[in-house]
Formats: sequence, C-alpha cells, structure tokens
Amino acid sequence: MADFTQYQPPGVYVEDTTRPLVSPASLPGSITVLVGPGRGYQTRTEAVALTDVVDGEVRLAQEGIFTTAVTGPPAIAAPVVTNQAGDVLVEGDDYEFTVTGTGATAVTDIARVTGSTEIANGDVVVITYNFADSAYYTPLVYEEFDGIANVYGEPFTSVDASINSPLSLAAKIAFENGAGRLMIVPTNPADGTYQEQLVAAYAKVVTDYRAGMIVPLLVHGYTTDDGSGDTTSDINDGTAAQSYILDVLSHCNDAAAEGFGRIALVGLDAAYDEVIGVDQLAIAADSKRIVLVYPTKVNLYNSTANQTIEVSGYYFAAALAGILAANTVDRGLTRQIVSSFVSLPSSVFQAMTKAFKDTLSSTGVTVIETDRLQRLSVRHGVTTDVDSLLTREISLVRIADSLFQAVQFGMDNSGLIGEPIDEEMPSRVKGALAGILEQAILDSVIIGWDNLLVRQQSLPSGDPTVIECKFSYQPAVPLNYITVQFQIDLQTGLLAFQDENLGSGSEGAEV
Amino acid sequence: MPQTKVRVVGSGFTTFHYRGKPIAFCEGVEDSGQRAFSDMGQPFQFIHPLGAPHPVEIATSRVLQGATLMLTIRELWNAPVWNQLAGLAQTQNIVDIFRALANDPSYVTCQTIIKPPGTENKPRQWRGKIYMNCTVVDINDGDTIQVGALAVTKGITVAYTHSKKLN
Repeated sequence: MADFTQYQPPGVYVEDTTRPLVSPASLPGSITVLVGPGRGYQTRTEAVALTDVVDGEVRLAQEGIFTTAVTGPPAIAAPVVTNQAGDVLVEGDDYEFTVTGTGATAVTDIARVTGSTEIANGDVVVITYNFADSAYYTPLVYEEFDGIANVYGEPFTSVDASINSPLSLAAKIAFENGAGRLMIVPTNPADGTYQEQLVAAYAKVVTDYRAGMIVPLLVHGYTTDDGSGDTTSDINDGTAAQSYILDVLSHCNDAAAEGFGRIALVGLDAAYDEVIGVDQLAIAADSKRIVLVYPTKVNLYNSTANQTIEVSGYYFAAALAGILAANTVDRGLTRQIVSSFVSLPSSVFQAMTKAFKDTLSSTGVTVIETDRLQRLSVRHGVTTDVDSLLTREISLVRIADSLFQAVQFGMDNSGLIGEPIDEEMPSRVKGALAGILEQAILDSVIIGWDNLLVRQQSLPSGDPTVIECKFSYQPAVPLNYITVQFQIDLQTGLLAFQDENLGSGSEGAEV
Repeated sequence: MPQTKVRVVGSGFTTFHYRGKPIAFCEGVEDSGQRAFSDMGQPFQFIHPLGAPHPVEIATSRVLQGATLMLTIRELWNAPVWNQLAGLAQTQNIVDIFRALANDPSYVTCQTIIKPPGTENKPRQWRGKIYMNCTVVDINDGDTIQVGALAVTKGITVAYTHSKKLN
C-alpha cells in the first residue's frame, strides 16, 4: 500500500495482495494491440495545375510523401505523374519536387520544369503518390478488417503468394478468431532498427488502459534503411529473439506498474533456427505477462494465390489474442480451437512427440497441436512463469489485472475522492466498492468476494485522509484435469441358458 | 431515559445515499423490497392431488425479483428534482436520464444506513442495505400549479437488481 507517511496525491490506491493460495482476483481491458510492419504507406491521387517555379509551386495535400522509391521492405514506389493524355511524365524533365522537413511531417511541393515538352505551363496533371504522415503511425482502433486493409495494405501481394502487410494479415487472423476490436500500431522505419521501432511503438500504448493484450510481430529480416548502418533485424536466433522478448516484457511490466496490467502473446518467425530451444526462451522470460507460442510456423491458405503457404508463429499469437478477446477474462486458452490455419507443416508435426510437448508446456510454452479431429488446438494455455498456479494460468493473470483496473477505475469514478469525510463516509466507500465487486461477478471476472472491510486511518499513527479497504475474492480456476479410474469386474456378464433340444436333465452351457 | 428497543425510522436514525452521496431535500425513501419471483403471480403454489382432502405441500419459488426505491424529494427553485441525483445534473427528461446512465461506465449503488441510538461513532454496529445496479426508471416530470400551494414534493423511481447487507 502507498506510504502515507510521505506526501501522496489524493486518489485511489489499490493493491493486489494475492498470496499463493487462491483467495482473491480481476476487470477487462480487452482490446488486442498488434504491433508490427504494415504496407508502410497510404496512396492518394490528386489533380493539380502545374506551373513553373517562378509562377509558384503547388503544395500536395498530404504530409510524409515518398518522393522517391524506397527499396524497403516495405518497398514503396515513387510518385507517378501523368498528363491529361495519360502519358507518364519524368521527374527532372517535366516536373520537380521540393520537400520541406523530413519524415512523416515533411511537406511536398511540385512544380513544372521550365522547358518541359510534355506539359505546358498551367496544364493539369494527375499525381498518384504514397505517403505516411504522422497520423499513420499513431495507434488506431478498428472494428472491421476492411479499414485495416485500406490503411495498412492487403495481407498478400496480388502478384504472388508473398505477404504484403504482416500487420494486416495478423489483424485478419485475430478477427477470424473472435476479436471484436483491434488496436493497430504500425512500426515506423524512421525510429531506427526494427527492434527500436518495436520499442518505440510499445511506448505509444504504455498508458492506454484499453490495451489488455499486445502481440508484437517479430518479423525476421525486416530491413530498415535509416542511415544508421544497422539495416537488418535478425530474429532467427535465440539471442536476438530473447532480446526482443525482454523488450516486450519490459513494456508489460512498465504498463502494469502504471496500473495498466496486460499480457504479451509472442510468436517467433518461421526462420527461427531453434538452436536455442523455445523452452529455453520461456525459461529466460519467466514472467506471468509473457505467453510464448509454439510452433514457429504453420500452414495458411492464401486465397489470393490459391495455394497453401507457410507463415510464422506470430500469426498464431494473433489468433490466440483474438480468442482471448472473444471470451470473458476467466476463460484461458487451454483446449481452445485455433481457426484460420490449415495445418502444421509436416516437419513440425512429426517432431511434436508427447515428450517434446511436455517439455515445452512444463517450461511455460503455449503449444498448439493437432488434435484427434485434425483441428489445431491449444494444449495448455500457460504463461512463461510456471512456478505457481496464479502466475501459470493465463486466465488467473488476466483476472487479477481486470479486477485491479475495475477497482481502480470504479473507485476513481465514484466521485468520492475530494469529498469531506463524515461519519458515514466509510460506509459510502464500502457501498461503492461492493457495487464494483458485484459488477465484477456479473462480468465473469470473479465468482465471489468476501471480507470487505473499510476503516479510516487516525492520528497519530495514521493519516485521517486515508480510508483503507480490504477484501478477498474468489477467481474461477480453470479445469485442467479430470481423472477417471476404472477396472474390470469379472463378476458381471455371467449368463446361463438351457438348450431345450437337450431335454431334461441336460446341463446348460455357460457363456 | 432508556433507549427504545424498537426502531425509530426517522429522526436521523436512517440515512440514504445515491451513488455515495446524500440527496438534498429527500424526504422519504420507500423500498419495495425484493419478493420471491414467479410467473404465476404468487411465488407459491398449493399442490393438491385429486382425492386429497387438503393440499399436500406448497411449492415455492427460490429466486428473487428486482425491486424499486421510491424517492420523494422536495423540488427546489433552480432545477427539477432528479437533477439532485449525482451524475444527472444536466438531464432534461427520462430518456436523457437513460442515456446518461448508459454512458456511465459504472453501475450506480445506493445505500440505506440504519444507525441505532448511541452508535453514531460505531459504524460496525450500523446495519443497512447496499442496493446494486440501480437505474432511474421513472420520474415525476409533471406539475400541478395552484394558487395557495406551497412547497411540492415529487417522486423518482429507482429500480435495483439485488441488495447486500451493509455489515
């Protein structure tokens, strides 16, 4: 509890005092956050009357225009300018850009090159350009996939089976698995290496209470040309993957410390070499806020190319986040069926022996396996901290986070802070807290509460502006095991019959 | 003079809070109480087989229905009575109230606190009810104007789903 021997700002102070044995737990922050690379730009077409520089340049409507082609990824094409006849004009010969500023806030002017033979001074031209303004990289919430595809690109390229926008593909899979709303945070190449881009993107949502789950797309080999010399992100070996996981763990811990508890669902790239096993990564993470997903690759049907392709494990993580978002917080991932995917690659399927899966699960890896009905099913939804029931089960972690936020937000919203303390104030505080806890029951966050005690501190040992509340709660613990014992009873099934043809006195046969 | 054993309802021994705050000029609260629920009307049914001279048993409901609080509030010069409820200061009519309550992320709780004489500084000895998920469902939005009339009280009906003991 906050130290009131020192000054603390007026407010509600909540502490989760849960101890190893289950007694209390949580409310929802259930938007899934997807962080990763999108197509990297939006496209706009404008018709402008081009004049010579001396007659004044024309300012294009959007900021952050890519005036030259970017190799990428993401690969971004240069603007295309055509005259009214449809002829493509040439930069330098027919028109020229003037860019003021840099990056997402750069503004672009266009002017005719004096002496152009393709267009006359004042002719109208059509310019199609790609841009990524500062709003492009801000977190936005979407409730349907089409909006995401419009901004961040279609999941697949139209020419082959390759992935055009990892962010859009992950969003599509999350929606298909039940997510109702998604917060999209595209990584900004201007933030440095891909690892630095991810860290910068995490920072944008650290104090957003809506973010209950975060899924970083650990795309291997994602090149960024930011001029720093470090142009490639390697996430195909254990050391690098561990570093990326620790980044998102640090983010989750920072957010939780601010009162915004959340978990991260992490999947690895298909190129992960597994020299350092995924189980070792889980042991290194060792946190209730990290859910590490295995396998690292899965088969997905690409409707654009009409073929099945192999995609990375972080799409599994997006699917699991969608499943969690669709359910109440007291429902974990164990035995949930994962949609969107076709199957596991045969090399992965063959390696998934019971012993191997047991090793992974026991160290804190959430394994997705093929069940007897050939469905992809979550074997045991665990976090990477398997030391105790309260930290191992995803549902219990989310319950605790949810209840924490419910109490924090509900009490803050009760309008009691700042009110004068009269003799009835402890009872009023108790009533407000009881209402929040009853609502938590209705929301399936907890199944019961008890021992709600409220008292005002008093001088000289206490601070009379403090009203202390304590209660215990009962979370819904997941059913993980059913044991059945049976045995053979040799005394059952004894039948005797008399064959009438044998006549009287003959003995019946026993069966 | 020794204290009475019977409860004195008024005289400041019982207080009421809407959303943690007392209601100014609230003169009365009538809690309908929760009755056992049945679609038969009465929450019980006599079981009377043919040939039996009298019912052999009585079937009873085991679930509670919701209940209402009827608040009687003295109207002030400056605002309609429901504006005195916390969170409803800007509402104009019952639909406005529904909208305001729906936009509020928290459910409203009300409380009745009964303080026996001599326990003013002993909250643990108080008793009462906490009414959960309270919703204003009806207001007296009408008016009757007569020469010679003095102050006027108006009613507000608040429905609740269930209640808990205060202590």
